[in-house]
Amino acid sequence: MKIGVKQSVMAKLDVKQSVMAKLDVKQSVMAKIDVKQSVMAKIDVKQSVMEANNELAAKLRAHWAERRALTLNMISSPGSGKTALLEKTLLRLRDRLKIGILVGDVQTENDAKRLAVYGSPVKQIITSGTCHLEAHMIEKHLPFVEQGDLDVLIIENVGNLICPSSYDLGEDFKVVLLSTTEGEDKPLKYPGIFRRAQVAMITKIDLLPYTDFDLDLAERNIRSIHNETDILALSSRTGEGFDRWLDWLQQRVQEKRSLGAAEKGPEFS
Amino acid sequence: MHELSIAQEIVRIVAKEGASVHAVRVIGASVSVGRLMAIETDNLLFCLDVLKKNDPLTEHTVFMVEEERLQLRCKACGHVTVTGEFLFACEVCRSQGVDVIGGEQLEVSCLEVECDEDWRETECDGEA
Repeated sequence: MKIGVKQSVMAKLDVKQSVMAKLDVKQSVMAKIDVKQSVMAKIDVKQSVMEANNELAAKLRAHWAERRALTLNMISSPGSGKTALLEKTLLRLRDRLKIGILVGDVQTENDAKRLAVYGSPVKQIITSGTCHLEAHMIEKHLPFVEQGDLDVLIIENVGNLICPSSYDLGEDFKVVLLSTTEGEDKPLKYPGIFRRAQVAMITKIDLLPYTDFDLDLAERNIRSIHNETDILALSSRTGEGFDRWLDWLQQRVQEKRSLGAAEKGPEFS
Repeated sequence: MHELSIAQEIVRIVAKEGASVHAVRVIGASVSVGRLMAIETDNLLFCLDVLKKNDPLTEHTVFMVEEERLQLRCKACGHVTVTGEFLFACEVCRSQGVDVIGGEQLEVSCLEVECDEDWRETECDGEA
């Protein structure tokens, strides 16, 4: 018994020695560096982290400018009614405008299936965990919906008010949605997206009698973040307020068409 | 969690810029983050510390995040308001007609690198 204990102490000593040996090696490496006289330098980089995304977004913008396709990037919390809005929009405008849709979700093709029944080109982008769409994802999936000339390309972003706001996808307008079952203070909580969006939509106004949502306060909060935002209040379910949205959309399509001759943009196929 | 995508791009830029000046390793990197970019600093630093280990150049890099405050130029009176709050109004005339001129930055601003002496003689003009 006693002998056994002694042996284990010896073993420990051996380990210690090998650690020392390692340290010696390390020291000699340090000495080598000293001889070389390494130099510390501070260098200015000033390189935008979003540059790669923004360069591609600019290419996409030029591509759509040449084709006179109005492009919208729809952003909201999950469940604010982006897909319902698009369903109704396709139903009402499919005979007048050719609308293509790219729809982003973390998982499932459910939204693409819902939208495909209206006969428009629709492509689901499954991000497998990524919380937003980036320009390279749009570039990759664009050929699936860009059959012939589109009047409008609508990108339905992943349901999220934070991450998508920082990624330019080359769109003409960012459209943010806020439903009456959410708080009126969402614009104050997520100022980034409400500042960048040119259009803010208050959806599900048919539910106003059943909620404590204060429409005036919501509008004031949106204006306090961006006082030039176009605010539209509507219900996709009942159609209330929907004509104003369709007018807005068709007006922007006309403006895009009447732009002067655009330079030839890059191809994505 | 867009911090992960952003951290990936930051590490890529730091490694690329470090290599372009023939650094042996990058000791420090400063990242400037605008208030409007909705980036959580601790989350970003956590992602950077995980991702930096993939490249020997950035393996020991210490990242620093500087916050760029919101800067608003008033369309009515021209005054520039600098604020840490998300109040989109001129602090002088109270007008809400303001242009955002700062707070949307997201850049790798500077690096501290370790280079060997050969590099100093050829490219650094003796700067220590």
